[in-house]
Amino acid sequence: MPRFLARTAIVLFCLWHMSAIAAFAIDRSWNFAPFSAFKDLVDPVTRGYVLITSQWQQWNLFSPDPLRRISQYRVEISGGSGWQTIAKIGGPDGDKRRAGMMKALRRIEDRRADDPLNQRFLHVLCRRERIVGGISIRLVRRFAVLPKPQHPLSVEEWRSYAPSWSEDTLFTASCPPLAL
Amino acid sequence: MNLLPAIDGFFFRRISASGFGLMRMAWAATALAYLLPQWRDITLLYSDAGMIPHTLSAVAYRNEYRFSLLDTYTHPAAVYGLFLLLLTMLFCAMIGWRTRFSTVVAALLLFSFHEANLLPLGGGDTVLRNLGFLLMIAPQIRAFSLDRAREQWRQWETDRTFLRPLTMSIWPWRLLVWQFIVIYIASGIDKATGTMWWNGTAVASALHHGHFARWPMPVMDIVSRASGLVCAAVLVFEFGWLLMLMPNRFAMRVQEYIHPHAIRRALLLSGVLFHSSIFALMDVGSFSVAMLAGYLGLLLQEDFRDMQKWVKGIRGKRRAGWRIVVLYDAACHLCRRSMFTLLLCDHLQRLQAVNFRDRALRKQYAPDIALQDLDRSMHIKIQAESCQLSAVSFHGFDAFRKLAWHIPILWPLAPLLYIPGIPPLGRTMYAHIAKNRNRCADGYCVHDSTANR
Repeated sequence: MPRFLARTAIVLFCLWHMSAIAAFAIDRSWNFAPFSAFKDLVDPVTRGYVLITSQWQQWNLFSPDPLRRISQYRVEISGGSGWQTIAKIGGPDGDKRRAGMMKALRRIEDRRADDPLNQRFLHVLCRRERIVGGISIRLVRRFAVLPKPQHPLSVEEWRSYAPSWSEDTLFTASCPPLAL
Repeated sequence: MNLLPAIDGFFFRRISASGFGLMRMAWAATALAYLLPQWRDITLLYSDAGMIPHTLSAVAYRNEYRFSLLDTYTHPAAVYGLFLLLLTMLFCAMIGWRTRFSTVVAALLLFSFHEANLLPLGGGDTVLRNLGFLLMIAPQIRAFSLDRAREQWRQWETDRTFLRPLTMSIWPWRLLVWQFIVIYIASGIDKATGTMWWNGTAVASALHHGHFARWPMPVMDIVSRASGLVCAAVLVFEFGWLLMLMPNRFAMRVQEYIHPHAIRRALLLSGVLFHSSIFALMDVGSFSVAMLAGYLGLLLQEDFRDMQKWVKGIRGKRRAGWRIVVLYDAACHLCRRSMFTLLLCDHLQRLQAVNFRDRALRKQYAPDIALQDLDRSMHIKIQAESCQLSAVSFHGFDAFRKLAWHIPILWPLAPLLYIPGIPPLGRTMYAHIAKNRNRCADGYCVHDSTANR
């Protein structure tokens, strides 16, 4: 009997887990009624389990269309002769080993300029680089957008393509006193 | 059909635990390889002195159903300590030292770091969490571990046999298959809602993205010629995973026309090609490698058996029936350990261990070799089972070098043993170790290499 109970528990757990991760992965933007109905039914019940076990997942890699914006970042501080670059992340001469940092920057660039996370990010950089309090620091983004043609481009068309780069300042802050 | 036995068979049929053992090793190695380079940014990304201190947690995290050890330990030194512990546990899980404990601790620490800051995470990190969870709950993950090797050693020392291969219930395998179906089908549907995958421009665009491109743009320009074809192939491949849901009754009918495992193997091989190509052309973090690590968990006993047959086949029919007699010294602990390790790695099942201290066996297998010579170094005799050709003998370093061609795990090493300079060095080292080994049996030890007992 205990074996039967244990096996029943395992079967129920498997069904629960399979339903939970499938319901979580469904994106309402697909607008597919049976999937949405399944998500509406299952997700409210299983969501807590998926989150607490860190099994949350969303499979939108290179989809619906691949990411076309290419961003590179510079951290600059104000000096006597204008802005000076103190760090580059991404791009041909940027630090390529900092993959985690690059991903984090790609995500915070979509936040508002006065978002406390962005301000905090610059303050931490001030402390890391031992920048004196009161000096302005900013994160500059250099970006280009890849084309979205209606048909595959030929090798010649790709060869002649040159990205059109733009620059903007994502956010600026004043470095806090070093002691803090 | 009786429902209960059908359900029981579906969830509890015994399968080889080798796939999950290999997946454990690959999972830990992948996580280790991708976490190590982050060491410079660990406190910046995860500690209270970094990007997300406690005061900002409400802005950065979800606040429901969250578990992270890094909520409790926020000081930079503590976070760094946990990072080092994670690396250590991953290494232990990889080699299989305290396998269950190290895997569970490594998975929980991985979850903790991921939950502490969502900003640097990518698809590969999600796959690593999914695999880590399944490894935590799977009933058997000790295959290919040091723990298992120790048990095998004890058994081999007792009666010169090996333990039966590890097995487990199939339900963790089913969960893993389902996880892959969710990944590919969700990804396929999401792609199908866009326009670039349909018009064949998505792959070229991804290849030309400066963040991901591994090669200079002129190379990517040329590879992009296949964009239209590859876009279509990716959609077919991803939706092809629906075939894994084929009911068993229907699959049995199809088996009359195709190999029983053909669909799963075709999907796995396509996936290996797909993810290896992504890895070769683009830097998308740990995603490709993590997916390939998961594929190892999908391998069944039949796959290992057929792979073994295939490897034997490509090594030539002439060699398929070869038998290699390894004459070793059972009075020497090092020799027994070495023999045990060779037999453990003998996946082509060609080796036959023969203790030359046994007079009868020595007369049977090596009547032409003097005991003093056998005592000086390991000898091997290679003979084709089916033909009447006399056996060819090698000894010492040369014997080891010859064996390397017959033991798959040593194949990468085998050609290196022919590099000029290596053979004389190898022979010298071998002779030194052989001469200084301890030979203890029957209550006494011999240290003189010329002893004839």
